[in-house]
Amino acid sequence: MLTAWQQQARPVSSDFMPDIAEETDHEVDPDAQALLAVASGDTRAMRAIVERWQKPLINYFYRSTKSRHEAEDLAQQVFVNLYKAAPRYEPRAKFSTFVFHIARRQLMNNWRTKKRKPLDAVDPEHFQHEPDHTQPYESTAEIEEALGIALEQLPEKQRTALLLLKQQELSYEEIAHSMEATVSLVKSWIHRGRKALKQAMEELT
Amino acid sequence: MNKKHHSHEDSIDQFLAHQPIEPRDDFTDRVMHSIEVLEQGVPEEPVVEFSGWRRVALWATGIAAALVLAFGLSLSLEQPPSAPASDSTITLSAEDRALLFGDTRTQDTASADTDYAAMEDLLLMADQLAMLDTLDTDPDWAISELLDTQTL
Repeated sequence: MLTAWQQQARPVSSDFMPDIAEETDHEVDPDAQALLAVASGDTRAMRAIVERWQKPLINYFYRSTKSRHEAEDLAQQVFVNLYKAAPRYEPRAKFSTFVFHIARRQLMNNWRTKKRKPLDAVDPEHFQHEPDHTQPYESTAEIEEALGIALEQLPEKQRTALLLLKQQELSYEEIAHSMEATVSLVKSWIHRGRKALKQAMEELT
Repeated sequence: MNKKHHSHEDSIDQFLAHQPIEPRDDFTDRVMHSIEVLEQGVPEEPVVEFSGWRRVALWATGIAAALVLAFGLSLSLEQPPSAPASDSTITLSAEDRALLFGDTRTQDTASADTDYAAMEDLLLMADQLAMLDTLDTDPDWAISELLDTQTL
Protein backbone atom coordinates (compact mmCIF):
# COMPACT_ATOMS: atom_id res chain seq x y z
CA MET A 1 0.00 0.00 0.00
CA LEU A 2 1.62 3.20 -1.13
CA THR A 3 1.18 6.33 0.89
CA ALA A 4 -0.43 9.28 -0.85
CA TRP A 5 2.86 11.11 -0.90
CA GLN A 6 4.76 8.21 -2.45
CA GLN A 7 2.14 7.78 -5.16
CA GLN A 8 2.69 11.36 -6.24
CA ALA A 9 6.41 11.52 -5.75
CA ARG A 10 9.06 11.34 -8.40
CA PRO A 11 12.30 9.98 -7.05
CA VAL A 12 15.28 12.27 -7.09
CA SER A 13 17.49 9.61 -8.60
CA SER A 14 15.08 8.56 -11.33
CA ASP A 15 17.81 8.73 -13.96
CA PHE A 16 19.94 6.22 -12.15
CA MET A 17 19.29 2.52 -11.86
CA PRO A 18 22.57 0.63 -12.26
CA ASP A 19 22.33 -2.60 -14.14
CA ILE A 20 24.54 -5.34 -12.76
CA ALA A 21 21.91 -8.02 -12.61
CA GLU A 22 24.37 -10.89 -12.68
CA GLU A 23 25.59 -9.93 -9.20
CA THR A 24 22.15 -10.06 -7.62
CA ASP A 25 20.60 -13.02 -9.39
CA HIS A 26 21.89 -15.55 -6.91
CA GLU A 27 21.83 -13.54 -3.71
CA VAL A 28 19.15 -11.44 -2.06
CA ASP A 29 20.34 -8.08 -0.74
CA PRO A 30 18.43 -7.55 2.54
CA ASP A 31 18.63 -3.76 2.20
CA ALA A 32 17.17 -3.94 -1.28
CA GLN A 33 14.36 -6.09 0.10
CA ALA A 34 13.83 -3.54 2.84
CA LEU A 35 13.56 -0.68 0.33
CA LEU A 36 10.97 -2.66 -1.61
CA ALA A 37 9.06 -3.08 1.63
CA VAL A 38 9.27 0.68 2.17
CA ALA A 39 7.68 1.13 -1.25
CA SER A 40 4.81 -0.97 0.05
CA GLY A 41 4.37 1.37 3.00
CA ASP A 42 6.41 -0.47 5.63
CA THR A 43 7.93 2.28 7.76
CA ARG A 44 9.69 -0.23 10.03
CA ALA A 45 11.73 -1.31 7.01
CA MET A 46 12.75 2.32 6.51
CA ARG A 47 13.85 2.53 10.12
CA ALA A 48 15.99 -0.59 9.63
CA ILE A 49 17.66 0.98 6.60
CA VAL A 50 18.37 4.17 8.54
CA GLU A 51 19.89 2.23 11.42
CA ARG A 52 22.02 0.13 9.12
CA TRP A 53 23.34 2.95 6.91
CA GLN A 54 23.59 5.99 9.18
CA LYS A 55 27.15 5.41 10.32
CA PRO A 56 28.64 4.68 6.86
CA LEU A 57 26.87 7.69 5.37
CA ILE A 58 27.69 10.14 8.14
CA ASN A 59 31.36 9.14 8.04
CA TYR A 60 31.46 9.32 4.26
CA PHE A 61 30.11 12.89 4.41
CA TYR A 62 32.29 13.77 7.37
CA ARG A 63 35.49 12.98 5.45
CA SER A 64 34.38 15.44 2.79
CA THR A 65 32.84 18.22 4.87
CA LYS A 66 34.84 18.01 8.13
CA SER A 67 31.65 18.98 9.94
CA ARG A 68 29.58 16.57 12.00
CA HIS A 69 26.45 18.71 11.74
CA GLU A 70 26.73 18.99 7.99
CA ALA A 71 27.46 15.28 7.63
CA GLU A 72 24.35 14.43 9.66
CA ASP A 73 22.17 16.82 7.67
CA LEU A 74 23.42 15.36 4.40
CA ALA A 75 22.88 11.79 5.61
CA GLN A 76 19.36 12.70 6.71
CA GLN A 77 18.63 14.13 3.28
CA VAL A 78 19.92 10.93 1.63
CA PHE A 79 17.46 8.88 3.66
CA VAL A 80 14.61 11.19 2.70
CA ASN A 81 15.64 10.85 -0.96
CA LEU A 82 15.82 7.07 -0.58
CA TYR A 83 12.29 7.10 0.79
CA LYS A 84 11.14 9.19 -2.15
CA ALA A 85 12.90 6.86 -4.59
CA ALA A 86 11.51 3.68 -3.04
CA PRO A 87 8.39 3.37 -5.26
CA ARG A 88 10.56 3.31 -8.36
CA TYR A 89 13.44 1.28 -6.98
CA GLU A 90 14.37 -1.90 -8.82
CA PRO A 91 17.04 -4.02 -7.15
CA ARG A 92 19.24 -4.51 -10.17
CA ALA A 93 22.39 -3.43 -8.37
CA LYS A 94 23.91 -3.81 -4.96
CA PHE A 95 22.13 -1.52 -2.52
CA SER A 96 25.37 0.18 -1.44
CA THR A 97 26.00 1.27 -5.04
CA PHE A 98 22.59 2.89 -5.13
CA VAL A 99 22.98 4.56 -1.75
CA PHE A 100 26.38 6.07 -2.49
CA HIS A 101 25.26 7.28 -5.87
CA ILE A 102 22.53 9.29 -4.13
CA ALA A 103 24.97 10.34 -1.41
CA ARG A 104 27.54 11.65 -3.86
CA ARG A 105 24.90 13.63 -5.73
CA GLN A 106 23.70 15.05 -2.45
CA LEU A 107 27.24 16.14 -1.59
CA MET A 108 27.77 17.76 -4.97
CA ASN A 109 24.43 19.58 -4.76
CA ASN A 110 25.44 20.80 -1.34
CA TRP A 111 28.70 22.19 -2.71
CA ARG A 112 26.91 23.88 -5.57
CA THR A 113 24.51 25.48 -3.11
CA LYS A 114 27.33 26.70 -0.94
CA LYS A 115 29.35 27.79 -3.99
CA ARG A 116 32.52 26.72 -2.36
CA LYS A 117 34.45 23.63 -1.43
CA PRO A 118 33.80 22.58 2.15
CA LEU A 119 36.92 23.47 4.04
CA ASP A 120 35.36 24.59 7.32
CA ALA A 121 37.48 24.19 10.38
CA VAL A 122 36.66 21.16 12.47
CA ASP A 123 34.81 21.84 15.66
CA PRO A 124 37.18 20.33 18.26
CA GLU A 125 34.18 19.17 20.27
CA HIS A 126 33.11 16.90 17.44
CA PHE A 127 36.47 15.63 16.33
CA GLN A 128 36.84 12.27 17.90
CA HIS A 129 40.31 10.86 17.81
CA GLU A 130 40.49 7.24 18.66
CA PRO A 131 44.19 6.69 19.23
CA ASP A 132 45.52 3.32 18.21
CA HIS A 133 48.48 2.55 20.43
CA THR A 134 49.73 -0.20 18.15
CA GLN A 135 50.73 2.50 15.66
CA PRO A 136 54.49 2.94 15.24
CA TYR A 137 54.13 6.73 15.26
CA GLU A 138 54.22 8.85 18.35
CA SER A 139 51.24 10.94 17.33
CA THR A 140 48.30 9.23 15.67
CA ALA A 141 46.37 12.49 15.84
CA GLU A 142 49.10 14.22 13.87
CA ILE A 143 48.89 11.63 11.10
CA GLU A 144 45.12 11.78 11.12
CA GLU A 145 45.23 15.56 10.77
CA ALA A 146 47.79 15.51 7.95
CA LEU A 147 45.90 12.86 6.04
CA GLY A 148 42.61 14.67 6.66
CA ILE A 149 44.00 17.84 5.12
CA ALA A 150 45.51 15.91 2.20
CA LEU A 151 42.21 14.10 1.62
CA GLU A 152 40.29 17.38 1.61
CA GLN A 153 42.62 18.78 -1.00
CA LEU A 154 42.16 15.86 -3.39
CA PRO A 155 39.85 16.32 -6.39
CA GLU A 156 36.35 15.14 -5.51
CA LYS A 157 36.46 12.06 -7.77
CA GLN A 158 39.74 10.82 -6.29
CA ARG A 159 38.50 11.35 -2.73
CA THR A 160 35.12 9.69 -3.35
CA ALA A 161 36.69 6.71 -5.13
CA LEU A 162 39.18 6.23 -2.28
CA LEU A 163 36.50 6.48 0.40
CA LEU A 164 34.15 4.11 -1.39
CA LEU A 165 36.96 1.58 -1.79
CA LYS A 166 38.51 1.73 1.66
CA GLN A 167 35.88 3.19 3.99
CA GLN A 168 32.81 1.58 2.42
CA GLU A 169 34.53 -1.48 0.97
CA LEU A 170 32.88 -1.28 -2.42
CA SER A 171 34.49 -3.14 -5.32
CA TYR A 172 35.99 -1.30 -8.30
CA GLU A 173 32.96 -2.31 -10.36
CA GLU A 174 30.53 -1.01 -7.76
CA ILE A 175 32.42 2.26 -7.48
CA ALA A 176 32.37 2.59 -11.27
CA HIS A 177 28.59 2.09 -11.30
CA SER A 178 28.07 4.42 -8.40
CA MET A 179 30.17 7.19 -9.96
CA GLU A 180 28.98 6.51 -13.50
CA ALA A 181 32.51 5.92 -14.76
CA THR A 182 34.61 3.10 -16.18
CA VAL A 183 36.57 0.75 -13.95
CA SER A 184 39.85 1.89 -15.46
CA LEU A 185 39.01 5.51 -14.68
CA VAL A 186 38.17 4.57 -11.09
CA LYS A 187 41.50 2.75 -10.76
CA SER A 188 43.28 5.79 -12.10
CA TRP A 189 41.55 8.11 -9.57
CA ILE A 190 42.40 5.76 -6.73
CA HIS A 191 46.02 5.47 -7.80
CA ARG A 192 46.45 9.23 -8.03
CA GLY A 193 44.63 9.80 -4.76
CA ARG A 194 46.79 7.32 -2.90
CA LYS A 195 49.90 8.86 -4.40
CA ALA A 196 48.91 12.29 -3.08
CA LEU A 197 48.19 10.90 0.39
CA LYS A 198 51.54 9.07 0.45
CA GLN A 199 53.27 12.30 -0.45
CA ALA A 200 51.54 13.99 2.47
CA MET A 201 52.77 11.22 4.78
CA GLU A 202 56.33 11.52 3.51
CA GLU A 203 56.30 15.25 4.15
CA LEU A 204 55.13 14.56 7.69
CA THR A 205 57.80 11.98 8.60
CA MET B 1 62.96 2.38 3.09
CA ASN B 2 60.64 -0.40 1.93
CA LYS B 3 59.41 -0.86 5.51
CA LYS B 4 58.70 2.86 5.78
CA HIS B 5 56.83 2.76 2.48
CA HIS B 6 54.66 -0.08 3.77
CA SER B 7 53.94 1.69 7.05
CA HIS B 8 52.76 4.73 5.08
CA GLU B 9 50.47 2.49 3.05
CA ASP B 10 49.11 0.96 6.24
CA SER B 11 48.53 4.34 7.83
CA ILE B 12 46.63 5.56 4.78
CA ASP B 13 44.49 2.42 4.68
CA GLN B 14 43.75 2.69 8.39
CA PHE B 15 42.89 6.36 8.06
CA LEU B 16 40.56 5.79 5.11
CA ALA B 17 38.85 2.80 6.71
CA HIS B 18 38.40 4.56 10.03
CA GLN B 19 34.92 5.89 10.76
CA PRO B 20 35.43 8.39 13.57
CA ILE B 21 31.86 9.61 13.94
CA GLU B 22 29.31 7.67 15.98
CA PRO B 23 25.78 8.78 15.06
CA ARG B 24 23.78 10.43 17.82
CA ASP B 25 21.22 8.28 19.62
CA ASP B 26 18.29 10.28 18.26
CA PHE B 27 19.46 10.29 14.65
CA THR B 28 17.07 7.55 13.49
CA ASP B 29 14.12 9.26 15.20
CA ARG B 30 15.03 12.56 13.55
CA VAL B 31 15.11 10.95 10.11
CA MET B 32 11.82 9.14 10.68
CA HIS B 33 10.27 12.40 11.86
CA SER B 34 11.35 14.15 8.64
CA ILE B 35 9.80 11.35 6.64
CA GLU B 36 6.56 11.63 8.62
CA VAL B 37 6.51 15.38 8.00
CA LEU B 38 7.08 14.70 4.31
CA GLU B 39 4.21 12.23 4.21
CA GLN B 40 1.88 14.71 5.85
CA GLY B 41 2.78 17.24 3.18
CA VAL B 42 3.88 19.87 5.66
CA PRO B 43 6.96 21.68 4.41
CA GLU B 44 9.81 21.26 6.81
CA GLU B 45 11.20 24.44 8.25
CA PRO B 46 14.74 24.97 7.07
CA VAL B 47 17.26 24.65 9.84
CA VAL B 48 19.35 27.78 9.97
CA GLU B 49 22.42 27.45 12.06
CA PHE B 50 24.83 30.28 12.62
CA SER B 51 28.24 29.47 13.89
CA GLY B 52 31.41 31.33 14.85
CA TRP B 53 31.80 34.84 13.48
CA ARG B 54 28.32 34.74 11.91
CA ARG B 55 26.76 34.38 15.32
CA VAL B 56 28.88 37.28 16.63
CA ALA B 57 27.88 39.42 13.64
CA LEU B 58 24.23 38.59 14.23
CA TRP B 59 24.44 39.59 17.87
CA ALA B 60 26.31 42.82 17.00
CA THR B 61 23.63 43.75 14.44
CA GLY B 62 20.88 43.06 16.96
CA ILE B 63 22.53 45.15 19.68
CA ALA B 64 23.18 48.02 17.24
CA ALA B 65 19.54 47.98 16.12
CA ALA B 66 18.36 48.04 19.75
CA LEU B 67 20.65 51.00 20.54
CA VAL B 68 19.41 52.97 17.52
CA LEU B 69 15.82 52.28 18.56
CA ALA B 70 16.46 53.35 22.14
CA PHE B 71 18.24 56.53 21.00
CA GLY B 72 15.36 57.40 18.65
CA LEU B 73 12.84 56.82 21.41
CA SER B 74 14.71 59.02 23.87
CA LEU B 75 14.89 61.82 21.29
CA SER B 76 11.15 61.65 20.66
CA LEU B 77 10.45 61.78 24.40
CA GLU B 78 12.57 64.91 24.76
CA GLN B 79 10.50 66.77 22.12
CA PRO B 80 8.06 69.43 23.53
CA PRO B 81 4.47 68.15 23.52
CA SER B 82 3.34 70.70 20.97
CA ALA B 83 4.72 73.64 19.07
CA PRO B 84 3.93 77.07 20.56
CA ALA B 85 1.02 78.81 18.93
CA SER B 86 1.88 81.53 16.47
CA ASP B 87 1.15 85.14 17.32
CA SER B 88 -1.64 85.45 14.72
CA THR B 89 -3.76 82.73 16.35
CA ILE B 90 -6.30 83.73 18.98
CA THR B 91 -6.87 81.00 21.52
CA LEU B 92 -9.96 81.11 23.65
CA SER B 93 -10.06 79.59 27.05
CA ALA B 94 -13.15 77.67 28.25
CA GLU B 95 -14.23 80.68 30.33
CA ASP B 96 -13.88 83.06 27.34
CA ARG B 97 -15.94 80.72 25.15
CA ALA B 98 -18.65 80.43 27.79
CA LEU B 99 -18.72 84.21 28.12
CA LEU B 100 -18.82 84.91 24.38
CA PHE B 101 -20.92 82.01 22.99
CA GLY B 102 -22.66 80.54 25.98
CA ASP B 103 -20.96 77.20 25.27
CA THR B 104 -20.24 75.55 28.57
CA ARG B 105 -18.29 72.66 27.08
CA THR B 106 -14.72 72.96 26.02
CA GLN B 107 -13.80 72.03 22.45
CA ASP B 108 -11.94 68.95 23.66
CA THR B 109 -14.90 67.70 25.67
CA ALA B 110 -17.22 68.11 22.69
CA SER B 111 -14.86 66.18 20.46
CA ALA B 112 -14.50 63.41 23.03
CA ASP B 113 -18.29 63.15 23.31
CA THR B 114 -18.63 62.76 19.55
CA ASP B 115 -15.94 60.04 19.51
CA TYR B 116 -17.62 58.22 22.37
CA ALA B 117 -20.98 58.26 20.63
CA ALA B 118 -19.42 56.91 17.42
CA MET B 119 -17.70 54.19 19.37
CA GLU B 120 -20.93 53.25 21.08
CA ASP B 121 -22.65 52.93 17.69
CA LEU B 122 -19.86 50.70 16.46
CA LEU B 123 -20.04 48.48 19.52
CA LEU B 124 -23.77 48.19 19.13
CA MET B 125 -23.40 47.19 15.48
CA ALA B 126 -20.74 44.65 16.38
CA ASP B 127 -23.03 43.14 19.04
CA GLN B 128 -25.89 42.92 16.63
CA LEU B 129 -23.78 41.35 13.94
CA ALA B 130 -22.42 38.79 16.37
CA MET B 131 -25.92 37.95 17.53
CA LEU B 132 -27.26 37.57 14.00
CA ASP B 133 -24.28 35.45 13.04
CA THR B 134 -24.87 33.16 16.00
CA LEU B 135 -28.49 32.67 15.03
CA ASP B 136 -27.38 31.66 11.53
CA THR B 137 -29.83 34.04 9.93
CA ASP B 138 -30.30 34.86 6.29
CA PRO B 139 -27.62 37.45 5.42
CA ASP B 140 -29.98 39.69 3.39
CA TRP B 141 -32.49 39.76 6.20
CA ALA B 142 -29.74 40.42 8.71
CA ILE B 143 -28.44 43.42 6.79
CA SER B 144 -31.88 44.95 6.31
CA GLU B 145 -32.66 44.34 9.98
CA LEU B 146 -29.44 46.00 10.99
CA LEU B 147 -30.05 49.01 8.77
CA ASP B 148 -33.53 49.38 10.20
CA THR B 149 -32.13 49.32 13.72
CA GLN B 150 -29.59 51.96 12.86
CA THR B 151 -32.23 54.16 11.27
CA LEU B 152 -34.37 53.90 14.35
